[in-house]
Amino acid sequence: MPDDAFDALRAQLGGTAPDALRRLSAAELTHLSQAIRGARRRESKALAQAGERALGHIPRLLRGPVRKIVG
Amino acid sequence: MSRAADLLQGHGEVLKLARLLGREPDELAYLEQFSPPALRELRDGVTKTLYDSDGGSLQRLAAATRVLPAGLTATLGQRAFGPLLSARLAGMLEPGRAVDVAAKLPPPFLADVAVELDPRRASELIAGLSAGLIADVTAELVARREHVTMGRFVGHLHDAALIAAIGAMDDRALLEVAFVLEDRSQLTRLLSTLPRARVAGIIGAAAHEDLWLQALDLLNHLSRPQRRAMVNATLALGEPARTTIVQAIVDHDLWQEAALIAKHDDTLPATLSDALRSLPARRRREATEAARASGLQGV
Repeated sequence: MPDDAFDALRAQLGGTAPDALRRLSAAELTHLSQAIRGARRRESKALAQAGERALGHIPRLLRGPVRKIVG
Repeated sequence: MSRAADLLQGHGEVLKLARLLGREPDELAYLEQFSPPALRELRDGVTKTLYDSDGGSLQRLAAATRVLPAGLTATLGQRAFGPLLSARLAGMLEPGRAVDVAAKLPPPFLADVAVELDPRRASELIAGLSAGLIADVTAELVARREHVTMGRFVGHLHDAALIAAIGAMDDRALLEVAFVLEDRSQLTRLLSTLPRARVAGIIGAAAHEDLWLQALDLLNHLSRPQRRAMVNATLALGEPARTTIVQAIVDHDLWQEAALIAKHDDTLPATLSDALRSLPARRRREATEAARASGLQGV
């Protein structure tokens, strides 16, 4: 159902989505929702990996304070 | 804005969104039916979602870099975070410190970051960058034909930086950037900084690269003297250029823009009438009506 797919997209976008997008088919709305979800996952994964990589470049003396802040 | 310019602007919005989502623009072709403002609203929503998604972790990471020297933070940006996360972090650092870090990064990497950055979230940082650095990064972006990226930044540059950025753009890049400018209200500011020779250069680029749609769209945003300079530059190009501009007006229904030109070139209506004679009767009738409705007398 396009309405369900629109609601799912709206949820992905934190509760708001341009009303004009209701003209899209359910398949297109779902594709868009998945593209947003995929981008979020890729960014979260990149962030986790970057945190690990960063520690390797930080002098040992500073790693403790940095870990404490990052948590 | 003409319908044709609207479609081209909409396409630009889809390109921006595709980049944000890490997708090929073709995959999102179904979005091209929407108006530029609707697509902009969607892109704003996606940007907010992505920035907020890992906001807490990014904030902690940004806080951690405060205990590190600017040089080490720059190294981490290049070797550990990469352009995407550096762009996300940029707006979270204290602006003065972010400027220090940016000054230690090479322009090619800063260009990579610029592509990923939402300038609205790093406005103070951008405003703090030196004109020289802005020129270097602009030159990188011009070489990569990143017009859309440059168009997002114009409104955030201080005057000296804007002049430096324009100096780093060739005439074609300048025309393309002006057309995709994120904040259209900045167009007057951008164009008012242009030396007269650059106006002629933009017209030359439009003629050589067949970018009349983009050039004519600018007419709506020019002051009367600038418009006169643009029309004079067009007339100076001679008959071949005049033929292609008339063709662009007819092909894209740019009657409003044609009416603006006709105020400085009273031979244009007759030339347009000649061009319209080659069209099928119905199309000719519609075009003539549209031309007259736009205030173009004598067509």
